[in-house]
Amino acid sequence: MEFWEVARRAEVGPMMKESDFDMKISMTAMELAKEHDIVYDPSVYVSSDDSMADDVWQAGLELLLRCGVYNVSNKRVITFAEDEVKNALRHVVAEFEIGKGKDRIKIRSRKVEDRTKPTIFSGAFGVETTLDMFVPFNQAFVQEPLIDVLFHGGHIQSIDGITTIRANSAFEVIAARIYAELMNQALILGGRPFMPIVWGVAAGVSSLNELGADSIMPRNPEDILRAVMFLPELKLDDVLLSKTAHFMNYGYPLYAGTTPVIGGYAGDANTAAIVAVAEQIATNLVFGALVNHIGPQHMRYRSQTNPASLWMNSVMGQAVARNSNLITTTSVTTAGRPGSMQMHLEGAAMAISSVVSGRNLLGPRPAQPLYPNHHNPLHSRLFAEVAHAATKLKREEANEIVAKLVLTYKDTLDFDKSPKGKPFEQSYDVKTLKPTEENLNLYREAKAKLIDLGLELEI
Amino acid sequence: MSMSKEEILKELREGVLNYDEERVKRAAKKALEDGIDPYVAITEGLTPAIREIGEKFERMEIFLPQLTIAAKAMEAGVAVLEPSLDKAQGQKVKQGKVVIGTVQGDIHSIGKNIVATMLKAAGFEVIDLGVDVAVDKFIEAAERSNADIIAASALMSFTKVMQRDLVEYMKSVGTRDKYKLMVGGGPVNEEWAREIGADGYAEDAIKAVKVAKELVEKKL
Repeated sequence: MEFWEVARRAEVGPMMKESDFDMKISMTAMELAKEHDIVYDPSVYVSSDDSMADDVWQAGLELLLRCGVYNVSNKRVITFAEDEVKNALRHVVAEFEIGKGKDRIKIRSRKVEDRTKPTIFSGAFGVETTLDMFVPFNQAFVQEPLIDVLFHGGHIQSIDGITTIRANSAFEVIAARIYAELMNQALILGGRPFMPIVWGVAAGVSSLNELGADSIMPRNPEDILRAVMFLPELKLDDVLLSKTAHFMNYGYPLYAGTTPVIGGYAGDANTAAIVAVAEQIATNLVFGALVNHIGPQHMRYRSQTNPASLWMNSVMGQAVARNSNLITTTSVTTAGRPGSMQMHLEGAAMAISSVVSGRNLLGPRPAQPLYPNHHNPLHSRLFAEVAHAATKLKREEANEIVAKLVLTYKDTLDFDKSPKGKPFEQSYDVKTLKPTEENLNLYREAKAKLIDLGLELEI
Repeated sequence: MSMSKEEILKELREGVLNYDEERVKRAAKKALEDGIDPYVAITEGLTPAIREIGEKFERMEIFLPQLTIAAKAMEAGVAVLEPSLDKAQGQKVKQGKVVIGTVQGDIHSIGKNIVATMLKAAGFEVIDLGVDVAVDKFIEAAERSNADIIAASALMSFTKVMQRDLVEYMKSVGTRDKYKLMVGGGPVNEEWAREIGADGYAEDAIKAVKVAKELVEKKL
């Protein structure tokens, strides 16, 4: 389906109260879970149940057909017919190339227990970054060879005496311009000027800030994925639609996603899996996205490595991988913060669960950073190594390993209990961009633990 | 059918716990017909049930849809019983008025909706302004409704700064001491609330109700 047709339906679809739409999603997902007998089993972290995966796919498809997608700006519902959805799914792009030179890569749709390596998207997304550390901090991520696609950089929050840049203010646009300039420097200094990148939410939240950085991007639009995100659940607004129109007008490929919230309107893990499937189909249908993303969010934990998110992600992932050729990613936000063993182990658990369930990966990143520059790329390195090693696992083996990993962190998932970690400046020598001995030892120790649990990692 | 007072109170509780709005309404009407003190029907029938629902939500044994439906059932019961309360009882049942919204530039609604639902269920009158709410709109709504509390939610670091602007705006138009101000949201913490001079902060909806009750008591 063409985007223009979606945009047209957003103008003329049936009207509805937003709160009624929210509850319709909830109630329909519950009905479908009952109809298809989809039940959450808290003792399982990585499902091996093909039949449940197919039921969740069918339920997700039905949810999208029954509810559609809601435009909160004009209170209209964008509806789809079954043949339109099926036709769109028949024509999805299952692989594409992006980037230039040695950094040109192929990003693929993956299947359950796929032996091919997943694409690793990583960066300091969501982490406040100081101007003085911006280039070395992001360069350190660029220099990690196992990161295939840089996923944003850390964002600039303070500039010229403004301690917190306000959304839609002039400083947001100025910071976006600086972000683009410095990000290019980080890419060049890191030796990967044409590394593929997901670009967006550069220095704020408004659309203007993204447009403000457009002309400084030195590359062809087709080498930069632009990010668009649904609001949970299955909602968008005029700003998102107009942003999408702009990106399409200028030939950018799209990275579209959403974060279904377990405990929110998506309900329990079983209904959230159904909602997530509907959303995964919709990211492709509405935005024509090449990469379709899900962040398995949880209302209570506000991070994504808890048992319910792990189960939901594995079931949803397998549903999508078994029934479509969509190129997908799962994001990994952790309660443990950078510079902690817990963050390494949480990242590993979700990486393993996702890889055997047919996903590519985005992350890891702290769900609640405590300091500016609060990330370090050794977490991305081990995360990528684990993801590659997980391609040798069967789902049952993955479940056993993940169960042992969850035991190590399940009691410290609340932010007030999870380890605080350290900022970049205390984890790396910021001049040489080499990790400190303490940081390296932590990485080695985490790797040794994972090898003990049965992962085939190189020492 | 004749029912004892205990049976009617149980029916009110069960109605909320089973998300059955019609059952709650029926039980509330029956309570009035049988001469049960409406204050007792609310405080011993409905309130313990919604508290239990809140606790189940906090433990994630139930989820936002169930919480919303149970709160609606509770509200329906209160609507039946409330007109029969005497003035003193009415004042005791009513916790206060809260104007709530997500700050300007921010379109996240789920967290704010949960807090609004829990406040309503706890007996607060809630005026929900939705998302992307400018500082003057909070004050206008508070003035119009003679609110006790203004509650501002922000889900992003780029928008939490609007909570600080709200404090400054309240000071500049001379309304800072008139209303208690609560803040919340993902990037917000106790320290930020103190720094900007808010009166209360809560990290989740259950605590938000507790903080709102404390603030109303302080105001009186």
